[in-house]
Amino acid sequence: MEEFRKKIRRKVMFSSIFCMSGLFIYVILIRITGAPDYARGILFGVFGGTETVSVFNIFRLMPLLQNDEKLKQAYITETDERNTLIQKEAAKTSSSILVMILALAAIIAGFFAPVVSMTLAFVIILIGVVSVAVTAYYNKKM
Amino acid sequence: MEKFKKQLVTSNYIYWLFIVLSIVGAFLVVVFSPNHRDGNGTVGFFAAMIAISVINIHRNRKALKNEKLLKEMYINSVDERKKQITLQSAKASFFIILASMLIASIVFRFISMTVSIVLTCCMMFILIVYFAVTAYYNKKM
Repeated sequence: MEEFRKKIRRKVMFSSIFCMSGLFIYVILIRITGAPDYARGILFGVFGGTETVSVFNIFRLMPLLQNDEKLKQAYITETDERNTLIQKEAAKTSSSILVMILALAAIIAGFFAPVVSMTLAFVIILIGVVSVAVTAYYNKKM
Repeated sequence: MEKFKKQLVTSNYIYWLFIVLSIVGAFLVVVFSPNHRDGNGTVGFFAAMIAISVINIHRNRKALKNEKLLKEMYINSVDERKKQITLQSAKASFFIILASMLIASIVFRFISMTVSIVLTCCMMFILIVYFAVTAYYNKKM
């Protein structure tokens, strides 16, 4: 349980850092690059979203550190084998579906917009490279 | 073991389907692509699909003829450690890919709006598929 408490503490710390650095990066990007209006809007949306998630996480996790009963409940939920397995299976199946659909989209886009097709192809390559690298890492670790 | 044999036969059929579809796709690209240079990448993609399918069909056929090889493949496919590694890496990769795409989409806002929009759409699509598949597994498991 102590390990889990440490993990929660780490999560709160990361969320706080993420929140602060997000705000900092946003201000820097807007100030330095002088982004056009549309880009500003999108940046505001992205950073607004990440800030909201970070703050939400902090408010969700802080009470767990103060209440042992809630912490225990969260620990049971997090270590529930079924939930973990569902997440893993979902990620695996989603990746396979995504690669197929993205490949199909890349081929179709090739007829109309080469830039879109290239972007989709790079996304597929990214998925492949990350998957291979992470699998190699877990092969060594597990 | 008989079930595994059937699985290999079925996957061979699927690979053959991939080959046929790839040949048709490559043919369509060559015939209908307005600019042949743009079509080269797509033809290369189809060629890679055909090559992978042929290699897999060859491997499966070899295993179907050789009991020892079949047993080895079967053990590999049911190995718990390998399964765990695949699942764990799929989960970790998923979040790394999403984070990388988010960063890339922000960076490309300043370089190319089209690329950025495509990346954002991809991210949204990835999340929709993930939530749909999670809902499915929640019901199934």
